[in-house]
Amino acid sequence: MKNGMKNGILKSLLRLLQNRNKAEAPPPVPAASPRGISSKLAANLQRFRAEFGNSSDLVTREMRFGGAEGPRIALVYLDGLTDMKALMQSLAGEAAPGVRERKSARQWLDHLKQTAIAAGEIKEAGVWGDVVLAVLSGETAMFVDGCADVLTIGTQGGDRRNVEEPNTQSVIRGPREGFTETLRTNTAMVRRKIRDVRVRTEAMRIGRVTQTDVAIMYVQGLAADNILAEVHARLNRIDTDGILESGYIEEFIQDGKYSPFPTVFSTERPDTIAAGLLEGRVAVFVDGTPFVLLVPALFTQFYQAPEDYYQRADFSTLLRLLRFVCFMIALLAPSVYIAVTTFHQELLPTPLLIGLAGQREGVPFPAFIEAVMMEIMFEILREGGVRMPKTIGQSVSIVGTLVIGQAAVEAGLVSPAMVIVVAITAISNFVIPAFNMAISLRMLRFLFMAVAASFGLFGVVICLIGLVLHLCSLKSFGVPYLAPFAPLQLNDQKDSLFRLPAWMLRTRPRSLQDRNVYRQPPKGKAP
Amino acid sequence: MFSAVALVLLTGCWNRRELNELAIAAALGIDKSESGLKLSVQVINPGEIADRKGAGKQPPVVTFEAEGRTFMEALHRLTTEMPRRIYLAHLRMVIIGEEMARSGIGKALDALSRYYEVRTDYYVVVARGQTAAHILETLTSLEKIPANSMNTSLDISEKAWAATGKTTLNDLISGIHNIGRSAVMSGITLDGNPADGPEMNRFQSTKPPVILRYSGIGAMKGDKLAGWLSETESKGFRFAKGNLTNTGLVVPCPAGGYADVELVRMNSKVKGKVAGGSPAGSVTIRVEGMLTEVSCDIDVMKRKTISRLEREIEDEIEEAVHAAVRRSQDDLRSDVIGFGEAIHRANPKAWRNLKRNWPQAFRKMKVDVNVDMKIRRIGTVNEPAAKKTEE
Amino acid sequence: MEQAAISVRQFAILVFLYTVGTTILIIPSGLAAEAKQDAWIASLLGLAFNVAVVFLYRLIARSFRNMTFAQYYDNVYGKWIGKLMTLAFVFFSFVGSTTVLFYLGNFINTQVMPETPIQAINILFAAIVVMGLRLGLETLARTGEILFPWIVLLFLILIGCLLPQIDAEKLQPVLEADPASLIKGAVSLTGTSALPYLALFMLYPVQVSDPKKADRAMLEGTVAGGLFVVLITFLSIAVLGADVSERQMFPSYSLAKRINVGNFFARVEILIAAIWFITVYFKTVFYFYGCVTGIAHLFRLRDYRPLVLPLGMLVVVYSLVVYPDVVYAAEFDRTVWIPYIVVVGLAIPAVTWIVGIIRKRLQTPDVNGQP
Repeated sequence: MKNGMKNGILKSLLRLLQNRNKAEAPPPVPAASPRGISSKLAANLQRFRAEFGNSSDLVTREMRFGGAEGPRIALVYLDGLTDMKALMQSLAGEAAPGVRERKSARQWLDHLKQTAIAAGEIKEAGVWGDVVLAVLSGETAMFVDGCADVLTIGTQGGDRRNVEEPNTQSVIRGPREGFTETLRTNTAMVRRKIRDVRVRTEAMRIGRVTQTDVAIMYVQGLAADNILAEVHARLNRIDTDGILESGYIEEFIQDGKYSPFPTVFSTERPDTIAAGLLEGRVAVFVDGTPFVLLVPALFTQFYQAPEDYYQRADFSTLLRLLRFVCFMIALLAPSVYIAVTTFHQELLPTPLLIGLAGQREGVPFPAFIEAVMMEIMFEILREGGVRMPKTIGQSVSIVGTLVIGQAAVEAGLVSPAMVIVVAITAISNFVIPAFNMAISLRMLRFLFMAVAASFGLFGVVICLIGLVLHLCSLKSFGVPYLAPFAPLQLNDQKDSLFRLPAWMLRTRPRSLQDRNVYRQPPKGKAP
Repeated sequence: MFSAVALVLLTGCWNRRELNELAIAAALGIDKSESGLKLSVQVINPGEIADRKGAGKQPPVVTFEAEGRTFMEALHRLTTEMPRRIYLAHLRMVIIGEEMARSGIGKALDALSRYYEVRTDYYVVVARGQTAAHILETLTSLEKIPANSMNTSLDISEKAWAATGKTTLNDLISGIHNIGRSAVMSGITLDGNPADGPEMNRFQSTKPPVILRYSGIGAMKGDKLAGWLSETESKGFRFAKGNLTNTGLVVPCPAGGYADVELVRMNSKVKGKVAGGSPAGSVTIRVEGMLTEVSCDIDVMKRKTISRLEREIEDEIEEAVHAAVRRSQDDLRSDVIGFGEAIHRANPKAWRNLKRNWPQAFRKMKVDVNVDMKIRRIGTVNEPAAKKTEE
Repeated sequence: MEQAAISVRQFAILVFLYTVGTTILIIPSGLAAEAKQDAWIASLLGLAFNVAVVFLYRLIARSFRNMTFAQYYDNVYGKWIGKLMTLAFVFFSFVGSTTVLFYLGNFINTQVMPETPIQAINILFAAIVVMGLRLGLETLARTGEILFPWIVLLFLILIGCLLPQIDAEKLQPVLEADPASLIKGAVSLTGTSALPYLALFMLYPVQVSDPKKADRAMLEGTVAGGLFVVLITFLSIAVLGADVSERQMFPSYSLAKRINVGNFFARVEILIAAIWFITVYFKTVFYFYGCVTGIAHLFRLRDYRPLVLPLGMLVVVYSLVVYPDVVYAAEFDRTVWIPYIVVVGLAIPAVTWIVGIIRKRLQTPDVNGQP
């Protein structure tokens, strides 16, 4: 119900926007123009130029193929999106003697398609809109004079970022490659890891204006049907003008739209996606961003780093427990500090109480204000540092440390203990591998602090129960968000809070699907 | 609903108290006064203790006093002379003036157990021959907070000296309600001129002119202090109650001089029974020890010497326990060792009758004491340093 | 009615939480007052009573496998009397949830934050109760599943830290209390822990995924919860002593205050308070669930959710007036509650069951030898 209504509002908003656009610039594909393609070369080129508004990056190159007797052809492409080198080479020069006998334009077209052109992907298009779209995607349209069919040649190219080590989610041990902005490169990187025919890639275009390529990847037989159907349904439901990053898609397809918790996992790492596919998850690639989505995303997933599987199991388990502790600290430390120092001083050991009380002598603000102030100051510093070039970012943090750590304490504005609490909270927050999960904690922390300031630890416990309730009510594509814990899947405990050695991880997560659960031959059976 | 939540959050600081608004009370003193009782509070001056740099200018604790008809009245009256709210959750000691203790402490203790802020992990002692206020006013060296000093000192001396004992509020209250086992409290006293106690500059000397010292165990009868056990009796009492470690025992050697044995392990059982309508009690003590000092000429490598020492110690302990029992029966008339409870455990039916006039029955009760001592080790040398060289 | 199946395991946990509920904090004091150092024996006896009650309830529940208790009333008594009975049931669960809420506010006002108005505390608590019920049974069941290990962990910490302080002498003489006071204590335990299971009849057995196994789950939950209470009572007596336990309003809280491991792991009574907040939460939620689903049934609503918020407000208001003061509450619990709960929780369901069987016999004469 609510969704429907929301979509409705969105749609009407979009319509409004589009109407305004119409007034300023013509829509990309005029609805009035005929679907068909003229057999006259000049007319087609004319139409192309008109539709693109004589855009300077549109190149329409007319030439004669295979020497003087050959047909007149024209290449249409967008400069910069394409790599024309190979194509041009194969078009240049005289045609072979046997070829010249061809008469009709259609025969020439077939020849071009089947023999002459050295390009991987050649399609034939008969609808005008398809041709335009192909050109917009970096393909080259080849018109042959006298023929109403057009060849679209896969010449996508141009300057692109190389495969580099991802900036986020870096590892000490593990593959160093990260996704790039090119969808095809990205899917290829995953393919390279899973060489199985059952890896399926389905392509679709989302965004009425941007026409962004989106690909769904999964392993047939491992991904549960209902999850797959749900992904399809939700992606098909998206109706918007532009998708510029996978974040757009994420917001459209996530569950719990008002939840601070992410229910879609995103990563820059091909190995994480490959592992996810093998567990039966579904990946959503979006062209133009290195961040690939992975669904269903469960709570524990955000506390697991890819490296967990590359390091020793015992070590990884300890790290995961550490992350869990950090989760608690990041969420609770300031609120518990406020609650204990302003409500439950009896809970502190006496020497500690005396120490804290001594530090607070002369601090003008209540602990709650002190904490909020420091937390906000820290958030400002972090935000200031993140957007800066690395060198300036460092000086921001140095100024920050000096301002907070030294001057504020010495001026008696905050107590040193509070600085310690805020610092450990911030650092714990960095420990959480997934950035979007860390953000949700940052937001919730303030809620906890506010409640702690008026209800003490009682308020904190109540908030925690509320938080658990909320987490329990969340689902990600039909799978309960806290899945291996609630509902409890004993089998999945091997790889959730703990990480048992690889040889013990015989099964895939049962929370996701229960058809093909065995990764390794079950116990007692020969492989 | 949101506005309701916002309202709650915005107005909610009912119980909030910032750390620097608290006067952390480390010790309470309760004395008798004309109007009812006089309360003295030892409040910690946190700035002085926590601040590493400017410390030493002000005393680490401050004492405030107020009178009132009830405990709480006095506590509330204290606010008229202090800028902060008294916070009782971190009490380390409660000291009761002897006069107050003799006239009954039940009323004062009720507030301590009823008031939500107070915990029960502090010790209660009696200011022997003193007012509690004087004890609280005395500064201590080594440990900046006198209450902490008293607390730890009691902890340690209870084990090593045996003539003192920790008492918590719950022990006291059980003792008041339980006729079959009266409570006890250690006594604390002050050596020197009480007027010198509060002076800071007395620390200029390596030997402070005033010190606090534990001395003896006071036996309660109901909620009143009945009297003091002497040092030997206190030790006897503690032996009967068990749970001693590291206590040293001095025994005379046959040929003059002394030997010292340190307790390693001990175990005592207080038993009671009713035989022929009259109660009887027994105390069985098993002790293991280690020779720590020999200042006489004996051959410690001989089994015979050791067993003689053992027998000496057994006699010593037996004597002490008997002394404690005798004192509690004749003089104090208070069943501090808990024979009544022992009989209750052993024979609930008989106890039901006995309970009614237990104080009388207790006085006539016969008590057997059995001590079994074993010296397991003799230390790192096998010959006494004072051994005469044979010529 | 929503058909949110609770798994058997989840149901066992819910029963456990519901059993522990308010019992853990309040009962040890009453038991110590009745049975002195034998309070733990009384609590064991109470556990036995609880098990007996569960067996009876299972028997009764067998006659309404596919419906809620309210529907069963309609079935047995017909439309009008059935509705009247449901109204009584609604009243029972409503009062139940308000008293539990009162206890919570009272505890916090007494032990933790005396200056905070009880209204604020109850509103905050009721807010998450409302939130939980609006999110539905399934979510609540999962929440129970998540919180359960924490409760067990905190409880184990509590026990582990108190074990060294157990003083066997405080338990002696064993079995001094006369049987009457033991039974009295046991009944009071059953009255606060097992008989209120009646409210669970709105979701058991119909909402549980496997009704047959649910019977066992109920027993498991009861026994586990009962043992929990027995252990707490035992520790109260063995560590604090009977007289101190009796004097305390909340012995188990005082018990936690006793924890002191090496002078640094001390002052952790908030742990037991946390256990208690969680268990009380579930007790309130399921009392309240009984109330709202009962009303939903009365008015033939398909979904109970719209009722939750207004009734939640009502519960908060009523929790402030249900007992005028603590002394009244204690007296009510000693005198009125037990006969009341025995009638409502034991007599009425049993009578309904018997009437149901008789009616069935009358309607379908026993021709084939089948009941």
